[in-house]
Amino acid sequence: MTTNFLEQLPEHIREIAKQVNVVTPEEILTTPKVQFLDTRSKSLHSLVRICTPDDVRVLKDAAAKWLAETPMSADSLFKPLANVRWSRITFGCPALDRCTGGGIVTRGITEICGASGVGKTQLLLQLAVCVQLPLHLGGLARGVAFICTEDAFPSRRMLEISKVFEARYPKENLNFLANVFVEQQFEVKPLLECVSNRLPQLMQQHAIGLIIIDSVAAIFRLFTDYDERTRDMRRLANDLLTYADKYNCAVICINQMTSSSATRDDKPMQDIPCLGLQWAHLGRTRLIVSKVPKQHRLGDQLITVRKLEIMYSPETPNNVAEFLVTSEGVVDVPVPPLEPTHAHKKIRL
Amino acid sequence: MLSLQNICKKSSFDLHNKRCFRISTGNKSLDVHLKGGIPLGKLIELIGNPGTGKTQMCMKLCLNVQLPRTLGGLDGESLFFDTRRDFNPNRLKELADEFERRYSTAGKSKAMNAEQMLRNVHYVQCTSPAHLIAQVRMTNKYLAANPNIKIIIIDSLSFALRMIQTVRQRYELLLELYVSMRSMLYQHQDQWIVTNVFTNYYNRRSKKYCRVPGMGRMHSILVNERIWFSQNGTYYLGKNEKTRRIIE
Repeated sequence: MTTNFLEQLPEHIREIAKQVNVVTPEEILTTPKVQFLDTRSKSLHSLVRICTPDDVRVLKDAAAKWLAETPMSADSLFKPLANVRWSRITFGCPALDRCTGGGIVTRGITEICGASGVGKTQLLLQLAVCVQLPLHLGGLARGVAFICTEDAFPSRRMLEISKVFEARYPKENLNFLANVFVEQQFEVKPLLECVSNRLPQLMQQHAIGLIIIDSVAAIFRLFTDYDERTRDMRRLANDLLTYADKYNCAVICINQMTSSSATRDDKPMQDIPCLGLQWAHLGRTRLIVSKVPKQHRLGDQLITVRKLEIMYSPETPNNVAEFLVTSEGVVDVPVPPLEPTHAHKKIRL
Repeated sequence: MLSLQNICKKSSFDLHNKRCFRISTGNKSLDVHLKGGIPLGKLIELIGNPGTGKTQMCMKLCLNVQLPRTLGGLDGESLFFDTRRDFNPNRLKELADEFERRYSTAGKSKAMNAEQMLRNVHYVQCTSPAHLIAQVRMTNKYLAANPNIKIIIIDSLSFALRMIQTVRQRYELLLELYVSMRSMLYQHQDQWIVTNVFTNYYNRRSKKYCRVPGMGRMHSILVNERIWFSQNGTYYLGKNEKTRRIIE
C-alpha cells in the first residue's frame, strides 16, 4: 500500500518524503511541517533540493486524500452492516438489561467500578457466559478473553453459572467453558505485551466477542510516576479500542474505588473511582456497583441487595437497578406478591 | 496602486448592521447569554469532564441547525467527526423523534421528519490522529460538494491527539489543524465545535497539581469561545477558570 502511495506522487515531492524518511501517509500527516522544511541536518554530500512550504502542502494534501473517507449520513448507520457496531450483550438479568437499555454495548471501553466484594466479578462471569449465547437470545455467539490481574480465575464459580445457563437454555447445547480464554498477568509490562502481541493472535484464531480486564486498578495503582502511568494507560486503551473496532467486540475494564481527598469546598470524603481523570477520559461508559443497606430473605439466608448505577453513558440516562448475587448467578430482586389490605376489603363491601 | 478607498471599505457600523446568524443551543439561559445562540464563523470549544453532557449537546446542535431560521436554526446540515466512539445513532434517532413530536404539533409549514433529519447529519469515524488530520484537510472539498453544511463538530479533539507522545509534535499538529479550520471558517462562514477535557497540570511555582483545560494555553487563545460543562448541570461561559461567568 505504501509503495503505491509514493509512486503516484511527483518526483520532487517523493524525494522530500524520502529525505526525511517519512514514507507512509499516516507518518506524513503527523509529522510537523518544520521537519520537512528543516534541511540543516542533512549531510553536505547528498543533493538536497530546497523544500518550499508549497511542496509540503502538496505532500500532505496527497496523504490526506489517500487516507480520508467520505462521510456517510447518520441514516445509513441503521443499515445492518453498520448497525452491528452498536450491538449489545445481555446481562442475563432483566432488571439490569432494562436499566442499561439492553446490556453492554460493543463500542468503546465500558468501565465497571465498585468497592471490593460488591459483586463485580460475578457480573463479569455472567457476561462471559451470556456473550456466547446466540444472537436471538441477546449474546454475540462468540468467546471471551479474560485477563486476571489480582486473584486466580474463579473457575468453580464459572462452572456453577455455566450450569445454570445450560439448564435455562437446554436447546442451545453450548460448551460454555471451552470459549473462555483466561490469562493471568500481575505486572504492567507483561500485561501491555500480552495485550499488544498475544491478544490479536487469539482474536484472529477464535471469534472473541468480549475482552475483560479484571482489574485495571490493581495494575496501575502502584505507579508513582504519573506521566509514565498516563502513557501506559493510553497505550493499553488504544490497543483495546483498536481490537474493539476491528473485531466489533465489547471491552470491560474493572476499576476500584478510593476516597477522594478533601477538596476546597470542604465536601465530605466520598468514594470515587480510582486512577483519576486520565483514565476516566479513556472510558466510554461507566457503571458503578455498590451495596444497598437492604437485605433480602431467600430461603433461610439474608442476602444483601446490590445496585448498579449508570454514572455516564452516551445512550442511556443515569438509571439505577437492583440485583442479587445468588447460587443462580446475578438475578433480579424478586418482588413479593401483593397482599390484600384492609382498604381493598372495604371497597369490595 | 492601492488606494485607501479599496482597503477600508467596511465601517464598524456596517459590520454591526450585518445580521449574524446563530444556532440555538437548546438551553434557554445559554441562548440568552450568547445573544441568540452560537454565532457562525467561530470556533467554539465545549469543555468538561466525562459524563457532563458534551456529546449530547453536540448531537442536539446537529439537529438544531436543521430547524428553520425562525426557530433558531439555519436550515442547514451538519458534519460530525467522531474520535471517541461516543456517537450513537439510536440516541440521535431518539432526539430526532422528540424534535418531530415537538415541532409537528406547532403547525409549521415545513414538517420536521425524523428520518430526513438523520439524513442531514454526515458522520465520519476517525480512529487515529493522522486520520483526523486527513479528514479535516479534505473537508474543504467536501464542503464545496455539500454547501449546505453549516456546523462541523469534532468530538473530541483532545482524544484524537492523546497518543502523540511529544508535546512539541502535538503543539505543531494542533497549529496545523487550526490553519485548516480557520481557512475554512473564513471561506465558508460555517461553525466549528470542538470538545475538550480537563487535565491535571503540575504548577512548578506552587508545587501543586491544578485542573486546567487540556491541550495547552495556545489552544485556549485560539478558540473563540468556551462553554464549560459541570457535573451538576450548570454551564459557564468564558475562557479562563477565573474569568468565566456562570449561566443561571
